[in-house]
Amino acid sequence: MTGLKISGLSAGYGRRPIVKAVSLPALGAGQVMALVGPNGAGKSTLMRAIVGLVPATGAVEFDGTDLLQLRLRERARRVAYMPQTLPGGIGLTVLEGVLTALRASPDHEGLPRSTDARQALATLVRFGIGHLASERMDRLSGGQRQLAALAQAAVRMPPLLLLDEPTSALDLAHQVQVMRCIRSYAEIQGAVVVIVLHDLELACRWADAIAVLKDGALAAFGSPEQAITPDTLRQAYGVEARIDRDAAGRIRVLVEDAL
Amino acid sequence: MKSMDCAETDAALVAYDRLVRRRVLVLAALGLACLAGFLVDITSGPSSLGVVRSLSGILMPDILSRAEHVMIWNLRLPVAAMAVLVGMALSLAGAELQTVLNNPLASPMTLGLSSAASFGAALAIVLGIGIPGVPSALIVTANAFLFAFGSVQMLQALARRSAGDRDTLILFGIGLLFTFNAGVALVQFLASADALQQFVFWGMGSLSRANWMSVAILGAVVVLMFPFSLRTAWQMTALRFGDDRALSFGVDVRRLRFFALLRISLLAATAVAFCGTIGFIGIVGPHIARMLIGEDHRFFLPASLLTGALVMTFASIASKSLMPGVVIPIGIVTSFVGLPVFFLLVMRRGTPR
Repeated sequence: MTGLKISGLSAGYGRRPIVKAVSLPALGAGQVMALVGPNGAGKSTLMRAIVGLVPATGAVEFDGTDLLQLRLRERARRVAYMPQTLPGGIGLTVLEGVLTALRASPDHEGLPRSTDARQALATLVRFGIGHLASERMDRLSGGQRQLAALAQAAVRMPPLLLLDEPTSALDLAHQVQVMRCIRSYAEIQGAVVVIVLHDLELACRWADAIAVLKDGALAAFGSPEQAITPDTLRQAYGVEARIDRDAAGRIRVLVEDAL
Repeated sequence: MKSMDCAETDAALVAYDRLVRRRVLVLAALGLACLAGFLVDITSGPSSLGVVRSLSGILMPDILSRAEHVMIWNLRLPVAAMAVLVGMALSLAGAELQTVLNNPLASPMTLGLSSAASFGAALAIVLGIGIPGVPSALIVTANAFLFAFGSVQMLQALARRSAGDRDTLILFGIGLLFTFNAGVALVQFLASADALQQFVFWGMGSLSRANWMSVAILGAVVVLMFPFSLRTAWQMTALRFGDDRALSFGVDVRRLRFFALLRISLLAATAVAFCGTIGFIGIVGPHIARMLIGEDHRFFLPASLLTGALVMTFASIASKSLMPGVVIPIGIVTSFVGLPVFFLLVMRRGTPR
């Protein structure tokens, strides 16, 4: 089987499970899944469990292999993860930061180095920040840093890309730009992209499938139309909401009141 | 659009090449400055031996009188070489430690390493307790090394039993620091006036005990450890982005941290064992290097090695020149020499360019 399939995944710190037996149907190559839900629903923990940063039980099958059983190096070959925050005060240029992601990878040992800088730059150009290559990372704006972090995650061209709120610090134009990049990355590389989002309209517009988490469990899953309904929003977020469509047929979420 | 991207890429590649070349040049300049400092260090000292005579005495030892030969070859050269090596060892250890603990204020002293060394030395000097079989001339050095090295390994073992992250390491390190300080105070309290004086002098940090054997041992440690440091340069740079991100690049962070701490403890414990506590170099060396060259560890680690050697060499020269006829213990001088440079660089960084 190609793609990503999660079965009975539980994860947490110590004895307290944060993600509780989550199962998600298979996601095929080239698909983007949005992970949404209220704060503390376990979205980030689910993601960190897939990368192996949080102890987990269950199975995360990717292209027929259970990622949870793999050693770090093997797992890193298949998955790249972008955490929510990029630490500040790093004395590197954007290009060096992305180059580091490429060269620090154990898979990279023994490969020719002459093409590395070119590959790193190509990734920067792809995310629209080629002009920032020589800029120091600690002098970037919040949005630019997020784009640099995204380039860092994508530079190794992993077949599974996990992004934790990649658009949270971005203005409207950059949000669209990043989502378009992520979409085309999935399609061109034949990769699976899982992305934590807070903006439901953004999720509905760009994702093939949406998983709604609530208290560590799956509250809804399916296409945007199936997953984002007044019922799900009431149950997961505790809000009264209306779902409309605009002239272009895009889903609009109108929150009327908190319950 | 496509051609604009190409032009953008080419320009950025050229800029990157220029950056790399500039860093290599900075490293070369630092190396030359170290060499110059080393030569000045050899030619300076409380004796009438001139610059020309000192330098020609190194190249042609036969022209020297017996007393001059002893002066150059048994006193000044080992001391100058020790200054370079101690600077290198402490600064490299500081640079690696600041990265693995993600803390720019960390130095080998932060983890209680020098307190542990002091405690070991105090046991030997005051109570005569040492490792059986070690010659009495080496008992203080051996004790200091054993305690300094052992304290970091104990720290590692403790950290492994808990979360094993950098904050745990720092907290345990602070705990050890206070424990060893209390131990030192207790031994001092029990010490005779003579032993106390001897111990206080040991603790000040001095190059005057340097000889060819100590130079050879510390030199071997630096030469052996540095290639291993360099080998992990990319992973160490990745660690600057935090554990999670480094892990997701495929870096085995625990292993990286374990071996880095092993190198750090060997470098710093050997330096402290031979020369006593020399603070500040482990913080200021890496900071100067970082400001000059950035944090790409392929350049940052060698730069730290060289800035440490440079500051230490200047301190060694100053320790002989500040008061005519007296060599002030170098541990006292390092701060006085390093601080102005450090302040200057910090202030320059603060002004908009």
